[in-house]
Amino acid sequence: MFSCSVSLRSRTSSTLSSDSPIKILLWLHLLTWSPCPHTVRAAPMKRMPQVTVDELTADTIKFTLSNTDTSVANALRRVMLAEVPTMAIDKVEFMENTTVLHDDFIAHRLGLIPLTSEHAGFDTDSTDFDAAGLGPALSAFQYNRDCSCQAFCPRCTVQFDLDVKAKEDSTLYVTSEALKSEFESRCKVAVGNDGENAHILIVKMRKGQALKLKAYAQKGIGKEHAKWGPCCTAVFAYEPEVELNHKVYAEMSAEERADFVDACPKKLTKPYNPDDRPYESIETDEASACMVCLDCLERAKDFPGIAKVRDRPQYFKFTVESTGALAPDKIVFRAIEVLKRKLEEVRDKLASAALME
Amino acid sequence: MNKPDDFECWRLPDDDSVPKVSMIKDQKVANAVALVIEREDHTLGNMLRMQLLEDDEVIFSGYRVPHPLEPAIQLKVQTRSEQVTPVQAVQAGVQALIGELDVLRDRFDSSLAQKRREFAAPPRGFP
Ligand SMILES: [Zn+2]
Ligand SMILES: [Zn+2]
Repeated sequence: MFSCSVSLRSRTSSTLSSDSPIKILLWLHLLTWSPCPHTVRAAPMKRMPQVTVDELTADTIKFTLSNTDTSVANALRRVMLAEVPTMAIDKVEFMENTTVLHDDFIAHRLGLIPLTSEHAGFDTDSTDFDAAGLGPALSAFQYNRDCSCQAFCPRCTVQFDLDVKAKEDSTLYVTSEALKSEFESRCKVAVGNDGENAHILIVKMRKGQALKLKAYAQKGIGKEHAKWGPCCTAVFAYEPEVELNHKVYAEMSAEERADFVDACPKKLTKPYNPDDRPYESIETDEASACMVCLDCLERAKDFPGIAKVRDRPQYFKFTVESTGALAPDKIVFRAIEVLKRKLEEVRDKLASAALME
Repeated sequence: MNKPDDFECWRLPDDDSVPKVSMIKDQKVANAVALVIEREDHTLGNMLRMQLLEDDEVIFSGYRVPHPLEPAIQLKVQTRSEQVTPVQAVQAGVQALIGELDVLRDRFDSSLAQKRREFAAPPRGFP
């Protein structure tokens, strides 16, 4: 838009002398224009966010995001928690249930079991079908409400079966292992990696009891129901920044200095080369070790300006832990994608809303 | 009985009865509009507001969630002059955020690849 208005003006000055009065009037009118609301102005200076992955395991990722605003970091966190789509059991048909838990109770417990959600992404339009003709093999699941089917179909739903009877005298533990997916390559029960507890307990049975059901897993987001949330944890923390004033330190007595250095339980501050020049100057190791005890600030009451502790601006340390539904790095990728799609929708709908005016 | 469906908090009705974005021009203040964005919350509201405040042409920008049970936000924007309309400011802000997220994704991707090379494929329990 800026470049547009500049070119208009230069054009006017060059044409004023030669053009007819009508044309001049027209140009003058253009000078006092109300600008067309549909042209996109050059965006204000873009921030260039920095990302460093610090740690990556099967279920956790830790990364540092910097050079961006708190609102962006927070939006990313909120989307990871509540708006990254996953698969979860949403409808259950009971054929037989003689356990001590009633149907609704078991249905609720089934819903909370994490299912692999690799295919709960955004590429729903792909038309690849697998060899068995069971349904789309590569494309992502549709939301059930968006799907063209009547009730459910392989494009939007995966069926799970559970059929258990207790025949032994001892207590039978029915776990998520007993839930059999009809289409394992698309969606199945996520298995934990802590051996004995890898499977989730659904119900305990005694001899003679039985449970038989069909469960239907569908795509959804955590905002609708927490069972669709892909994260156990999604948090960011600020990093403290410790600044020490050497001038103030120089005016303290050796005893006061020793006091100050010993005050921090983390021993963050330490004398600079204690043998050579005892307590003459101070330094800190990694400021990130500071647990923000603020004990050093307590000392600063007597010696103003000795220390400053504050949050490092535009610096966020993220920790994201997966439920098992999605790999932790996938959660981050998909969250960015969800955020982008939100913005794109607003951008597109804003243009048509402005046209209506 | 009057409880809306759970999915109402993030999905627009299928019959297009609710527009995603609607615009109310301010009758008293020049170059000011209030945008109502349906089915969005603090996630988008705060991000947009902060981005708009980075723009020198914007003299006011704020958002609110008018009612906690209604899944919509209101974004108010006022610009310095009519050289840049509030709608243009929002469009530029949205575009800047999209660009920023692209950078964010690419840098996350390359940092992740580097991490994987350093620790030659950690054991992965997920497909
Ligand atoms: Zn379907
Ligand atoms: Zn301390």
